Amino acid sequence: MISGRRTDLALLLTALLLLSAAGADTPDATPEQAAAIVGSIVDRIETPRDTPIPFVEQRTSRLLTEPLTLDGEIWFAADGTLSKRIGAPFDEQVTISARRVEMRRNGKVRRLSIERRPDIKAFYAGMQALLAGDVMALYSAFDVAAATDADDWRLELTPKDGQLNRFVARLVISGTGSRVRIVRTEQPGGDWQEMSFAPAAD
Amino acid sequence: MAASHSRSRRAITIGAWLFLAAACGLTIAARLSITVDLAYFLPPAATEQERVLIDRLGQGPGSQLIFATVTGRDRADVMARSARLAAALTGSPLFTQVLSGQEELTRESIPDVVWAHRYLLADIDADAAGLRRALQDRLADLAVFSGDEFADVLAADPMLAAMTVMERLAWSTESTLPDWTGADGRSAFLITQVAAPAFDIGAQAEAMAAIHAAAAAVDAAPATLNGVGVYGVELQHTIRSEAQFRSLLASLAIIIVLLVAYRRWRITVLAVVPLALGALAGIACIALIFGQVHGITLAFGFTLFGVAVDYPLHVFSHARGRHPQEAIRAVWPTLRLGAASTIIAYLSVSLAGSRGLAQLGILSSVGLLVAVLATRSLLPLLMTPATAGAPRETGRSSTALRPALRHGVWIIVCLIGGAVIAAQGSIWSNDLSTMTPIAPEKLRRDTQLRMALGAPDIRHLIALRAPTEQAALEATETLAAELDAARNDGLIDGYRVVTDLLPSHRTQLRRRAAVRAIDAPADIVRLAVDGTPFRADGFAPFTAALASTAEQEPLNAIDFQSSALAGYVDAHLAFDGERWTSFATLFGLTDPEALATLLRERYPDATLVDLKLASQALVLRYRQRIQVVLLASLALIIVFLIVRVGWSARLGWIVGSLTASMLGTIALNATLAAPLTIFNLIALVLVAGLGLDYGLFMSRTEDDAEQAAQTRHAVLVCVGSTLLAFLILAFSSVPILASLGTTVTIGVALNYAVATLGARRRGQTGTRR
Repeated sequence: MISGRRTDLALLLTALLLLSAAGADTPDATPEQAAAIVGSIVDRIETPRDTPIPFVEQRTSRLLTEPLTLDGEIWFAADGTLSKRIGAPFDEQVTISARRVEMRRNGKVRRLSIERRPDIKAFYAGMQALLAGDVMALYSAFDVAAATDADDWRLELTPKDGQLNRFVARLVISGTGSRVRIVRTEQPGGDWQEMSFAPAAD
Repeated sequence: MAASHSRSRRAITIGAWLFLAAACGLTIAARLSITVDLAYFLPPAATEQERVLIDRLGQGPGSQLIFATVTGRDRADVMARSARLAAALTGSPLFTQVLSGQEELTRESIPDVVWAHRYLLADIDADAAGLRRALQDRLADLAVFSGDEFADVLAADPMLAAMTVMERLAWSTESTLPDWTGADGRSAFLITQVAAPAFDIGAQAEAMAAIHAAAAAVDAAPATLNGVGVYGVELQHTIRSEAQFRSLLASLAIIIVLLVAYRRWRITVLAVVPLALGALAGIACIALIFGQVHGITLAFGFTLFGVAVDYPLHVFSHARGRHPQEAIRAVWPTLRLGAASTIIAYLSVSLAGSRGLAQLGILSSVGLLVAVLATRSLLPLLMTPATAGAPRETGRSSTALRPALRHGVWIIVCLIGGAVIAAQGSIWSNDLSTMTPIAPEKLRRDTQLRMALGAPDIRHLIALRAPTEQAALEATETLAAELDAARNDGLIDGYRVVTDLLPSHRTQLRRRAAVRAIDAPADIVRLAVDGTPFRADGFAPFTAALASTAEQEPLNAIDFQSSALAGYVDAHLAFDGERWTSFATLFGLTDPEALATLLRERYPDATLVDLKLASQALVLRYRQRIQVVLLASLALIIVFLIVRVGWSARLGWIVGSLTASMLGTIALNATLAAPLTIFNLIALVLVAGLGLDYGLFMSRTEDDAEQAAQTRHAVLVCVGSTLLAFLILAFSSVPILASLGTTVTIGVALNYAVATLGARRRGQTGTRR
């Protein structure tokens, strides 16, 4: 499967080189061009496995006077699970796998099926496809729009699934070069969550 | 004059029979309905365990579930299909619950009755400090969950009381979240709980059709269905088509045998008359006494009194060259003896201890009685002297012919049969599943699915009885505390009781009092929110809910009846018209003995019921009772024969031959086929009835060689037709029909072999004279 993807990406990379040579900023790209851009972005992203990446996240809710701001670390394990360790304003660890969401807080564990939380499911599906470089998976779950500007890039993912759509309007992922900088989830009701990753230590 | 007198008597007799047939037909049409409730064939419970078993049949933990499997390209695809199918089925009155594992945690996923009464159904700390703690937790939830739907729930229920209630009822325990997709990710499961009990085959079929239709409509077809009810429907379908196909074949075979034996169409048609009259009378009797007849009663009843087809055959065989009335006189004493003995045996079946067997016994004995009477009084009137063909012999011998009865034959067969049975050890099956004719591999698949989806243990449950609903609920709350301790000790992974949803009035009123004690809910919210990021004005729905809780009356079981949770209440709380029983379903029970001991010590009102052991005990007791009844009826038949035939070598030979073929049948059946069940035992009663007839006719003293030949002819035709009919049944794909066919085929063959080998007629090898 990996080798197959590499072959796809090699083709897409060629396409990308042609496009970059033309210096394209392409908001109105044809589907083929868009696919090529997506491929190039996906291929650029480096996936640090098992390496904690510090993040800051803001989450809105109409019940809160101001967005909830979280500090913590996120990392991706080789087995595909995504873990989020929140250090402030409280301690909580969230582990997301293809099937479940597990929350640990104050020594207590809560587990639930990921299918019951469409917001988490969309976030996980998008990140997973992106970080695994799985363009096919990305396209099967989302309508994808992409744009690049020099080293910066931006992906807009709109869930195709009707059920998911009711809970997640779109996922916007932007970055520079090999680095994902911001993942923003927008909901139909106007709420949003934005996770920013600190620049690499180097 | 004499001719016209006999003509009018003939008209009166035929008229009377026609009237009887019409009256029976009308009774059946007006009163009879058919049931498939398995409880019909179970005896009354002797122990608390058996009572629970019978009570829970067809509605035990999860027996109303249908598991639907949808397939697709990949995990995302199958989950989407299963979600669409679940959405299409949700809200149908046929189902009390539809789960795809993708239910969003939203207000809509919570039934109205729970949402409206959430503060009676769950404990909350209804003060500022308690709300503040809850809000800290909700802030942590907001670090993971998001969206308006979640905010709506938070604003109205910051303690998440309603979700706590729903999570308590959920399928999975925390440690065993179900896998909703197959290992390869190309199939997903959907659980539906059908409103009707599993034995309501019509309702189950309707539910299945609804699932298939919905699957086709949302592009999730084909859906593979599993579940006890599904197997019942499939089985009924198979049995119906199999029974039709096999009985058509068997009828054809019998017609061919009769045509070959008598070479007259009229005979073949007339042979059916006593059988049909008997069937009508038997069923009409059941309609009058019971109103409802079980499907198995019908199938087995017809089989049992199929012996009645033999009666006209004896008459036909003896009618060659005789007037029909003369033929009747030639066979009647023996026929009467055989029929009376068989009726005794069949009547005894009705004492075997269940409604189903009572029906079976009455249906077959009444049917037999009417058939033999019709053979005696009606059949000769319908026969013309020419019916049975021209006489083959002209002369008559005046010497009576007594057969030479050889006792060695039955003694040898008895010894061999007895030895095989002794060597076999256990020849009986005590498995209740042999009573439900569902194929074992289907039951295994069902168990696998249940385990994969974290459905509760179907073998064990805890039962607790009380005189009133409230007493049952209060006792259940005490039991729940003990089960919490058992869970902490690791004896079980979890449990479900009715009070997880519906607490006792005592508990509900305590909660209401706590809510009523709150002076100003809005002040509590203001205090709790102070210093948190939450908006003070966001929780108006919560304060409104507290206000309405203060006015609410406590809930009863009946209040859930029209909700999606009716199934949960029914599965855990039952009222039998007298007492209430509360059931706890268990998850992950590893050491039943330890739990039983713990209950005995800590809470003796509750019993741990092992449904498997209870069913084995029940079947064992049932079979022993049937055995006793059958042995008693055998003794009664012997006494009857002694009275009628006299204490003689002939009697010894008849009883010996009968015993020999019964032992031989049991030995062959247990060795070649399978351990015997209660249904094999019933088949043995038929074998005995047939064997008795053969024995009586083969051993009787005949007027002359002609009559002796006619008797042997009649017995041969009887054996031939029965053997063919049951051989065809023995090859059925329905286990219960096949085992019936096998037993009777073996039995009839043995009956005939033992009787012919044991009764040689003098001079038979020479001329017929």
